[in-house]
Amino acid sequence: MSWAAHEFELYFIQKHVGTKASFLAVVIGTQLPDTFTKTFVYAADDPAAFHRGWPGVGFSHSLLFGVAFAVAVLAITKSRSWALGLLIGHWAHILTDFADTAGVMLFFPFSTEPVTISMWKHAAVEGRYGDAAAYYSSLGGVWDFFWLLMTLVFAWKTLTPSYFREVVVPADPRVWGWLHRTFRLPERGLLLLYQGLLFYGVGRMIAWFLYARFDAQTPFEPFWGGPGYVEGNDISDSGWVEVLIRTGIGAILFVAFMWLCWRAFGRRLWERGYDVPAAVRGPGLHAIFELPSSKRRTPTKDTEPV
Amino acid sequence: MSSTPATTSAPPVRISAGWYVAALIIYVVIAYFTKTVLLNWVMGPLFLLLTLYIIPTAAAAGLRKLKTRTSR
Repeated sequence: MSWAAHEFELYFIQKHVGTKASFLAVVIGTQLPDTFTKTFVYAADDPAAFHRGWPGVGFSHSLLFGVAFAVAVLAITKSRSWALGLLIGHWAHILTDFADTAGVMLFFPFSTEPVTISMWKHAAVEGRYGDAAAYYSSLGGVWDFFWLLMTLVFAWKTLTPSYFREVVVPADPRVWGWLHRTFRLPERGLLLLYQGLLFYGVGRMIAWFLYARFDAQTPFEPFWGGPGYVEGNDISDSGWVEVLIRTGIGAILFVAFMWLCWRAFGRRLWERGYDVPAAVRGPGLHAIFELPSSKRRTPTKDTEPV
Repeated sequence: MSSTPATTSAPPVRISAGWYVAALIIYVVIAYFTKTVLLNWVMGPLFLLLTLYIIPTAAAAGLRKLKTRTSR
């Protein structure tokens, strides 16, 4: 599993989706695979198999789970930016997680074969603290740092107040507006909430890294498949040819199923959905501070007293 | 005169980088010693909001109240 990388990639995704997807939806999407399952993972007899396998809750780390959730949200809310955001966020999470030894069942239920590149060991068997120490003693910690650098080098603009004002809020004026009105948060508060996820990622990366070095004192082994002191948590005994064939069949069936769903109801749902119109989005923060339901409306020419 | 779309008149919020660094140091120190209190998905993302907006705002409001009471 990845730790802080899930927070850093949010801003990298945001840079590419702009106003097409809601940032808050991407956030929920990235947390979706672990939200209902992570609490039970550390208590399971075989954490890796429970977390990523079948039988278990491994289906939450499949492409289809994200699609099903996004379709349900699109059907209920009709919001394309939320459906798209959830889907992108969810897929980003599982495509990040396939780097550990447990892997992810990408094409579940068409293939229950975990796909993995075994870059670092899935160490949930060590408990939460042991898992953190193992992760930040392996290439997993380097992976987090890589995503932090990617964000700071290529997506730094997404962290600026002006980007938040001109892109992030207008992409989802309803929810930011709701946060503004319900919690009485001004622009400064909303901006800090938005930047808070990167802050959390950096903070947890440093704190757990320090814990691994000074408290747990685990050896730092950033090599492929490390750390060496943790037993492997592969949940499949299949050879790479078998994995390749099963995954290939799963991929073909998944694509065919997606095409059928698109033809049967997906396209209809998408066409029935809506994008936030530019008229509602308005220029930047007007999107939320001047919605009809907002009390803070500035006088226009027509309403100005003579 | 061409009519340009109305833009938000207030300048964008500016928060000095020093405040972020200070908040990060506080976060890491507390998180290192307490672990689960801050290193979770509720307190973690809200910490910045708490330290750079909610606590200063509440403190300023408290001080204002105290000043008005003492001036009476």
